[in-house]
Amino acid sequence: MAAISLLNPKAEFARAAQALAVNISAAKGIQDVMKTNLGPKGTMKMLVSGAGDIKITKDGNVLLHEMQIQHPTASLIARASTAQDDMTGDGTTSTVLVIGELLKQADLYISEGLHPRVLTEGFDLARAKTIEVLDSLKIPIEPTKEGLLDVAKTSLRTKVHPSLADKLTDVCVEAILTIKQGDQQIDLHMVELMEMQHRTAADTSLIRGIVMDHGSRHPDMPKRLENAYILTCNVSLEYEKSEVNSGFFYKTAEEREKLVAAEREFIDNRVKKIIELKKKLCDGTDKSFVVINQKGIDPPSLDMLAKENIMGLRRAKRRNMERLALACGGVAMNSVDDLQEEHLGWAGLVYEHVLGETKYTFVEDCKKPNSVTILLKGPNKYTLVQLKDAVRDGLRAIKNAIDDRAVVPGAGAFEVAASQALQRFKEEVKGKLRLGVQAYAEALLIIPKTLAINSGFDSQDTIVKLFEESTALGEAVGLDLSSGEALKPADAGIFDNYVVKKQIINSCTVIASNLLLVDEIMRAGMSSLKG
Amino acid sequence: MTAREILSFQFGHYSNFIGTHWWNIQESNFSYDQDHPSDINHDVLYRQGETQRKEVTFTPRLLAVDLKGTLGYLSEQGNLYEECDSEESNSLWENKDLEVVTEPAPAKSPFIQSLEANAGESARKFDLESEVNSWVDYLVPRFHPRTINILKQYKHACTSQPFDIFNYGLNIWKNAQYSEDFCDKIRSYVEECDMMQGFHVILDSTDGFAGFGAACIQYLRDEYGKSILSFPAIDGKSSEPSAANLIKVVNTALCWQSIGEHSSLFSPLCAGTSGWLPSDVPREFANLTYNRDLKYHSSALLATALDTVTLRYRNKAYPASALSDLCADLNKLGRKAAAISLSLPFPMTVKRDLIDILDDFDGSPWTSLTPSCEITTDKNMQSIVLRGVLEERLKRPLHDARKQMAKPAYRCSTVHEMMTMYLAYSCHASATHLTVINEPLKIKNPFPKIFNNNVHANGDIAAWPVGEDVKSVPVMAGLHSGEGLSKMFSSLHDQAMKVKSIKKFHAFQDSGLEQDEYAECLNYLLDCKEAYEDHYV
Repeated sequence: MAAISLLNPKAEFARAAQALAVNISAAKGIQDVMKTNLGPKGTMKMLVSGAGDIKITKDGNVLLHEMQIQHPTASLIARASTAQDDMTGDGTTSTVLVIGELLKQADLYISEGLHPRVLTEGFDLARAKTIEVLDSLKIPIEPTKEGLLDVAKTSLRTKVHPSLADKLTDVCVEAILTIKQGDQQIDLHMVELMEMQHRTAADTSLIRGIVMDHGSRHPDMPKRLENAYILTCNVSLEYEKSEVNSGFFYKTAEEREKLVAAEREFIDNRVKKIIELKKKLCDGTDKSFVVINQKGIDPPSLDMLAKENIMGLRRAKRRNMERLALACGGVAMNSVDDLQEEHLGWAGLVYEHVLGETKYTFVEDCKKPNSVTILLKGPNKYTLVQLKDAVRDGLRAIKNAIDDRAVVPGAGAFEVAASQALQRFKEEVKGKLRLGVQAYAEALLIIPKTLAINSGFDSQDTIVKLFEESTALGEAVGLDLSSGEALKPADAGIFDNYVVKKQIINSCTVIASNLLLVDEIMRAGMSSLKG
Repeated sequence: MTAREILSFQFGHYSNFIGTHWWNIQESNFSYDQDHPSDINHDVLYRQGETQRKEVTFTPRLLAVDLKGTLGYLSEQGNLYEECDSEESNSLWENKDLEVVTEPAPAKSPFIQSLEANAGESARKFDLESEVNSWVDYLVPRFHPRTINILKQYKHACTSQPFDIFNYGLNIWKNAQYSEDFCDKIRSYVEECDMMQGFHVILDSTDGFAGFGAACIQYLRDEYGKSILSFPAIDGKSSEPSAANLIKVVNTALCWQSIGEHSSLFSPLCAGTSGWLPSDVPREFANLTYNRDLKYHSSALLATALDTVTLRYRNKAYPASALSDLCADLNKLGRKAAAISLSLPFPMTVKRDLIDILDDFDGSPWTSLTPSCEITTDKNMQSIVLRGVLEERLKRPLHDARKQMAKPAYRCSTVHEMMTMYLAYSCHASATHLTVINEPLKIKNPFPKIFNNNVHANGDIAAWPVGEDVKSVPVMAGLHSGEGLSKMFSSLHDQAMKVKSIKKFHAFQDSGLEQDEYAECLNYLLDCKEAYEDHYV
């Protein structure tokens, strides 16, 4: 009897072998759910809610939440997969598969009486060796278009249809190369993803400038301007009655009006300053003027601006302030005092596009855009969401490759190579620890096996074929998903991110070891808390 | 005519119950008659839009948040802005590789079915008391696609992973991705507004939504700097004393501290007398009978009060009146809280005039809907709205006046004048802002049948049962800032003091609450209590 039940007779608990069985079966269960999703031939899951809301995804964490899996172990694994996503943006399915397989392999030995501690120590040795193998497989690349296309394509092809993936690959690589500034870290926030519910996903395109989902709010304002100065500012151009003046303090309506008028003038002066600058710079030339404000602009101010043929946008996204400055030049201003020409940005073309009740404003033809927009198009909301997830992951893959300055061969090649290396390494390990290494070597093969199964091939056949080929050639080979034969990933242009693989190896080993070492699961809910 | 827009928020399940009643009430009071337009300016809370098919829409300017599993038949996107049909919608992935997992479609309540079947008069009787499980079961308005937001991390009424801790909500807000999407929705709404006056926030103050709402209010304050009127709500249903009640008290205390700091004014809502004490009895209304355990009933009372009290800045007669004025009137000297009162129906007795009714009033003219707070008539800063008392019922004409002539109020020629006079005489040392609207509150399905059988169809009170279906009622509601609130704060403080160490409730500590912060929160409650004490008169 467990100690907890002496203290709390209502506590539920599972001990030793039973606890392990619970964890292993949960890991297997979630592995089964995710298995079919791996790789470019894997399936997607389309979740349709009772009310008809659709979500198409293969993201493990989303699936677990949506499919209402409430097993504590499963949610622990799901969290590892979320962490994987946060860190690298890819490899969520692999994480789940590898953890599940590690536990499955471990189960074989534990049921024969091996202590879990020995196994986990073996795992740790194997992990270190696997990282070594990974390092040796690294292929250095240069951050050029050719170098990045392949890794982006490999990532995107597991998320969307191949024909679309190729198009998105181009868009993503171009976007990253445009915003890349020398050797500085790449800030992915400088690629704005703007959704437009319109036409089809194939119309998704890269805009070398900024697209905003709002437009001018005055009928007389210009809808299209060329050769435009851009003033980005965070200055309220809206009269706001303060809360300081209580209504109890006015004697008459006139008194109140007077106060309002005085406060109003304060705002008018700000607008006048902007107009003054516009007159100085643009009058008599073919240049025009656009104000993009993070704060509000009320109708009287809009009116003043419209009379001067200035386009005014209000309530810009906070992050767009930074993006605009990078795309068009200039600085985001917090005050309109002392406005100078060098504070302004410039764009060749600014125009408005109306779609239903939403207006879009395009700021294009910038001189040297260090911030760009990917305009996502799709016929409905769920397509857009799916597209956005895919593009986000594609961008991450490219950024990872640039940060690593290297890629590793994909198509299961790394796992096969690592497994073989571990089999050899096993011979050098003394004692029972080698069983842990053995289990680890087997577990890694789940990736090529699953890839084979999802493409309709026999998993044993494939593994044998890959082993033979790899030994014969003396280098890493992967699986050709269309023929079922071995191929050299480098020739086919299938590359994975180094950091993704590294993260998978590290986190899966830790999680699997932790789960194996659990010898008691208890749940002692405070029943009085319910209600 | 321009309106000064307000953006509304509903955070939490009970808040959505209240909100749904409120939107329903507003929709019942729409006037489609060109010659008799409504006195109420609906553009304040509603927005006009256009679908992709160029159809004009009129939808609430609202962001509602709830947990997974509350929506039932309702689609997150709403069905108003139907998507354009497209033959190749799944082209992002091979269709053959798509595993479809479909949940069964939940049943619609009979009321919703009849609403969808015909837009006309729903003459059928519904048993809404037993049919309403969630607020969507009696929701009349249709929503803009932006409106509904679901917190995917938590499931409604889940016992193993409940969303019952203030900090849980706070942590969700801190999750960058979610709050970015939500903030973008706020921004889109605000961008549309020409002359926004502020925000209405209804939030559940007893569970995780307290934290989520409080974080949102802080964001609104930082980002927009407009007036924020918030209503932390407590479901006044009866409950067994348990540790869960203490958790609710802690959540409420933390919530009030945060919204007290960041909103312009807040008014706690609860249909129960004390809100947090285990021995809670429901508020009593002379001419109403309601079931306190039904969210559907109690939230209707709260919604009526909200609808009426906000008429001050939602009527067409005084377009200059704004939310900021109301807040400025009431939130002086750190008195950020105000009590809310309701008089439903305003007791117009059959065949009698306002002058006599006011004369014979005894006791308090209103019932408080703020927990642990009785509203005294004296020493208040108050903003009161009276709707539905017509000039004809003011007094008798001169030739027929008889005894009324002797009363000083007889010289008053409008309802506003007479009511002001009454309040001036009956409330000592008080400053009152009064708004009068002629239109009564129209009562239509799905407003619950809570009126006693001595109420006439037009809301008049008879001394005998009349058994008519109530069609409209006069209502009075107000916001009051006075001494009673110090009792409210001290009662909450005493109750929260029972949790000596927050460590006992490890869920709070695990999610990031420190003992120091909690002690500070308790002190804050005491500060508030003192802010309402008058020692000088």
